[in-house]
Amino acid sequence: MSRRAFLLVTGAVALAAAPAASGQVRQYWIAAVPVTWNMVPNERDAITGTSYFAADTVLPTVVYRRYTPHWRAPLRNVAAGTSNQNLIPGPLLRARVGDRILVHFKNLDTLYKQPHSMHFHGVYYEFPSDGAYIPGFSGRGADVKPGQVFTYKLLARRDSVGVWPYHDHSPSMDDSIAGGMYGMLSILGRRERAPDREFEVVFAPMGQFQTIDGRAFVGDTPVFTSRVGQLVQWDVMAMGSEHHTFHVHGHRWIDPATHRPRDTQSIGPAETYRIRWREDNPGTWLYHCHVEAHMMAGMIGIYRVTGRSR
Amino acid sequence: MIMAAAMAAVSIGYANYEPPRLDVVSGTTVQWTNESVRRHTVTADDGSYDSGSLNNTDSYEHTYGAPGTYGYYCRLHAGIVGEIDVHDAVIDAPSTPGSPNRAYPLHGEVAAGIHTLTVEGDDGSSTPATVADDGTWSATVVPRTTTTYHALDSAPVTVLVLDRKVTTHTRALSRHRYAVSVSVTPASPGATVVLQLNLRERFGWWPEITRRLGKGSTTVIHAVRHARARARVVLTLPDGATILATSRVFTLGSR
Repeated sequence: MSRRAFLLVTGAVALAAAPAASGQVRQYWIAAVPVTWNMVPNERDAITGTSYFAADTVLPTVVYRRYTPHWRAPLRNVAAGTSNQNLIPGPLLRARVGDRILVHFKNLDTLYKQPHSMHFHGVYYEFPSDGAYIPGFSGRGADVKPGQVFTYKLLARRDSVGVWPYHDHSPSMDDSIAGGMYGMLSILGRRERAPDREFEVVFAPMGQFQTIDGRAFVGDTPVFTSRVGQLVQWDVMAMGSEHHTFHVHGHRWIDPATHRPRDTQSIGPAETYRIRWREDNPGTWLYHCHVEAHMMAGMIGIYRVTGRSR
Repeated sequence: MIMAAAMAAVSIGYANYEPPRLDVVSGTTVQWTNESVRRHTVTADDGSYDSGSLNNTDSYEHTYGAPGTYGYYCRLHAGIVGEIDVHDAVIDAPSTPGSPNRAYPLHGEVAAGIHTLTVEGDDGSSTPATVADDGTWSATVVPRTTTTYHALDSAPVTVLVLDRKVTTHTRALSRHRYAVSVSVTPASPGATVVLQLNLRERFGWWPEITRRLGKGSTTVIHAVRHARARARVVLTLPDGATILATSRVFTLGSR
């Protein structure tokens, strides 16, 4: 089967940053908000048939939520119909090289009343926008108290192309990340083609489960969908303290480092990969972490492709 | 998020402690804060501790050891008394009624060093609890009628059991838009209801829209659905997941 497939690896690529050029200014309004989160909404593992009680699957937590300007009304973190899940991960921040990104953040944590922040990988920013708490050195953006606001000023440079994490790096960082306070930036080149479908996959432990986007088991994790012929892109990230291996059934892609095909990609904490292919294989496929213990604890989902085989 | 060692708070008012009686597990640190304009003290009945004079916003802490009943009073004002009841285990008071023969989660705390716990009901039931490393526990009981539970030496708590009915009426607003009117009896204002769809790719019932009932124990859920799917509305605990009652199944979508 011939396949036009390729993978772009983001990471420590020490390219000279492009001079700040005239791009768009993209503004995002985001708040840390409490939610009641169910890791297993249908209360079962469809593959093994194991049932779960809500008492073991529901937890109160704090997540990043997208809002209309000035936090007037909540929005979906990603558009409906993209087959991405709302609330976890946080809003997908899209930009192109040359764009300025203003992230207006408000701490609405009325549950734990903890400080929160946003710390971004992959983009250029000055120190006040680092969002990482260092007593005596960091500023307000690293320790946004309940009710307060802060605007992070970011720049997508030439070496920002790809997918990158963002997460809470305030004094509450450990608890907040365990509760789902993470998301991704997706940066395209200046004239790079946008994918037809973009799927967010975050491997992270939550409660007693190993979750994808805060959900565990087939049927509960996001059900991603596409059609034959579409350019699909997987934004894959790991958070927490463990390594994972991202595997999709029925598909392969080319690793740009080795120029060899792969169907499994290792990924460690805060690493991100952008994986693309032109879809040509209809079916209901599994995608999962191939660390067996993680897969059995929930790190698995389904990907449904419609259309005729090419 | 995981809470550190057990803490509890008591507020000191003008002429009372609030709450006047508190159940805690041994090892809990209780903090009293004077929120009144008068000076007060927190003085143990047996004289084992004394806060000294507390002004407005001052606070005082004491950590309780062995299980028992510990009275205390204000040395400055006769008649202001309080009590801390120290146990090996406590059960959090249930906030909402359960339903007959439906799972109902109970949770609470245990003292350090206790790793197993059984919840005993006055209906003769005996339910093992899961004890977490942070000293909290949870157990899922299935009451048939209103039942009182205790665990080890905890104070008893009662789960009120109500047999509630969920009725729905669906109106098509356009080809794919629906208004589902929901009503629950006996009246349960503020209770949580969830519109669920039975979806093949979700391998069963999937929560689509969660709402709280209004004052009249009713609400209207607006749904958009293209492909035909079976639907129902369930009454749940505030977790949106523990089902207390289900409506009859109806259909949404036309394709």
